Amino acid sequence: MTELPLERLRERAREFEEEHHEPIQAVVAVLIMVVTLLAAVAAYLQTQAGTREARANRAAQEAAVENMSSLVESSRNFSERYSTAGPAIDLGSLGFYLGAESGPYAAALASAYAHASQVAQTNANELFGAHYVTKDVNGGSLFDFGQFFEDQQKDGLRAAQVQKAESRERGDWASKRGRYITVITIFAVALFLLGLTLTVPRGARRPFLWMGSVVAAAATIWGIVVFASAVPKTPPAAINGYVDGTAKLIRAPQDKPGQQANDYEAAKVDLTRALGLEPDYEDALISRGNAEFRLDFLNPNGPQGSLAAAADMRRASRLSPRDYVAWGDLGAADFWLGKYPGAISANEQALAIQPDQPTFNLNEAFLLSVLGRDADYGKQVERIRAVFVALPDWLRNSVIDDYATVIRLALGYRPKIVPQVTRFENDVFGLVHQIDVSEQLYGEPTPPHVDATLTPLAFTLSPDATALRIGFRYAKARPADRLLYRTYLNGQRSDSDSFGPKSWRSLGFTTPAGSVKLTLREQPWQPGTRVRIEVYVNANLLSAGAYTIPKR
Amino acid sequence: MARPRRTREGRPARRTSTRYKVGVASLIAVTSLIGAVAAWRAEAASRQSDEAEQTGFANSVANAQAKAQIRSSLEQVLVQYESSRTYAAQAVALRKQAASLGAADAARLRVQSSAAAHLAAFLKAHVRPNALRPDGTLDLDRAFQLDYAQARQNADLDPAPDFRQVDHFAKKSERLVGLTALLIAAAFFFTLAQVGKRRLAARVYLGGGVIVLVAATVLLVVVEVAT
Repeated sequence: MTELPLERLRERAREFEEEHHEPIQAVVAVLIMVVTLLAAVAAYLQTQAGTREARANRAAQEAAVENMSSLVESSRNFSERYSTAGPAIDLGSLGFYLGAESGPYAAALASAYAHASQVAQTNANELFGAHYVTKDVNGGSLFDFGQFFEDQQKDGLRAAQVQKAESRERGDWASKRGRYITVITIFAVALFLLGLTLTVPRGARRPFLWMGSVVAAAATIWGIVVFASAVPKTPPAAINGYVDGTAKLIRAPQDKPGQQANDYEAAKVDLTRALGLEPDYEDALISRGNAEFRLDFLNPNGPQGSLAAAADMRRASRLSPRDYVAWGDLGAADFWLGKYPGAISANEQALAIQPDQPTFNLNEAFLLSVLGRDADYGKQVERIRAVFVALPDWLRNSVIDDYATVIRLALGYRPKIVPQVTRFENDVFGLVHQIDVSEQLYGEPTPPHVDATLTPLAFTLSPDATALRIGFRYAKARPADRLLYRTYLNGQRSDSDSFGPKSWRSLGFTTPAGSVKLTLREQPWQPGTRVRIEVYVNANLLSAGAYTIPKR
Repeated sequence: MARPRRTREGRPARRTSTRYKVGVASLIAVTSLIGAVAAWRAEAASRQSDEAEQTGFANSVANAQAKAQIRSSLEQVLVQYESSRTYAAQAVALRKQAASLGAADAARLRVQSSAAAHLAAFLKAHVRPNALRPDGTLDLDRAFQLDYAQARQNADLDPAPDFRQVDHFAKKSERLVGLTALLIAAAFFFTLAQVGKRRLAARVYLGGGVIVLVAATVLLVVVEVAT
């Protein structure tokens, strides 16, 4: 047996090892190359996603410019309409007033102006296209302002929807790009593990090889998933359906009550078309839910509650859990369906997202009153005060005036909750109206304290229903204290039936105590009219009451 | 005397030869150079895309502004034209009524009619002629087209060609970035071929690197020349 030197033995051992482990090294080499190339592909796809993101961003910015332009354009169209129709209306008014004057000259002038007004009106109506011109029963020219109003909304609505869709697409591409970066990072980890296979002792190679392969496989699968995940794009036809439907929805309040139901029905058709093309179109769901909701309000038998509206709002809130409008509207829809616990739950979701939304704060107090949760109700009334004090007066008054419809319908068609609704009306409407009166008189939401007290209001209607008398007594009044009362007819303030402020002294009332009798006249009062009176002393609401004119 | 080591196939092992090392190192250098060129071209395309986008947006805003200005000026034309027609209608109606009145009242109405007619004519005379059709009726669309054409003579208001450029260069940049990634992969393979101690693995790396290098270079030329 030949004895070999030690160095030679080591070399033979290395050769043996190399020859026997060459296959695993070849596998690792191939794997490293494959993983590297896959990472290169992922890098390319990541760049591609970045390009798509940039393109969607550009489209969103273009749509924003388009939106602003269309707002300017529609504003100018309204301005053109008013400035061209104005002279015709002025001439007609002149003719009307001259008609009341005596003498042949005035009569001739009135006739000339009336005739010229008709001609001018016809001319002005035709300026915006024949499709806006209709004829009245006498063959005179009429302008279809409802259609004009609807058309003016469309460009702005469309641009806003395109902007929204492109922004969403931009976000989706950005997310996709981010996921590609993660995939590339995981490929890098796989490469690291495979690289270690070449350096660790022989016994540890296989575990590293497996780990690297598994991580590379996971990255590949995830990369395929990311690649296959679609970036949704709202179809233009769905946007058109949304625009047509929502424009009709916006138009409806401008139309006569008889036309409004048709507007809402037509809006529903358009919005259903949009949802047929894009079932998850959240804005279309909210608009259609609104159309259903408004239609229910127009029901001659009072609101019955709309399951369809609630279903649309519920779906919208699931699609976009951060959309407080969807939650709040769902609460309102559930209320009219008599689902009070569900209504307050949805409304609280809305307030959790947007705590200062005025209407949903009113809804919260309203629902707490209906549910009899008195302690929470008291806190919510205070919350309403804080929210409404912070609002500009035009918004505060607009919100509360709109809410009068809710009160009217609830009092008219939900007999079981009339006491709770009346309590809410007295507390909340009184509170908000007092803020308004105090700001008008003192420039502050909280009026100065007064010692005066008033008894509850007593209403009496004359037998011929032409005079409504309201009486109350007062005490602790000071001569300089100023009396003011406001009248609301069916929830809307009637300035002609309101009065003040005037001091007790200037009114000739005795102080510190006495009685007052107010008389409101109509020719005659219409049955069903709800008259609400609020009596203030130094802007403090001291007594309020409501009376509904009975059927004769 | 020492003999060169032999592989199982019986060929001499040459992976450690100087020629091999120099060859692979040259490939790494060439790959790096081509990769740098690809990265430079990708960056240039990206910059051109950004510039085109800026121009496109500027044109887009200028276009909206120009349209708004033209519409504003035409609103005045519209109001003037409509006032002219209203006074003309008033003049006609007054003259017609004058026929049914006594002499004194008729004279007063005729004076009013005459004044209204003069005012109507004055206003009409000051309506821009190119906003009127040959029959004297208003044609605001035509006036708008004329003004808009004029505005486009003076400034570039069309963002569409710029945005087409944006898409073109973005696509080119995207492809070049992909090719740069491939070239980096090729350089990586060559490096592994250079440092690898296993003959078969080194061959695989070298072969893979050459394939990727050739493919990426051909594609680079295609992308650069064809687009």
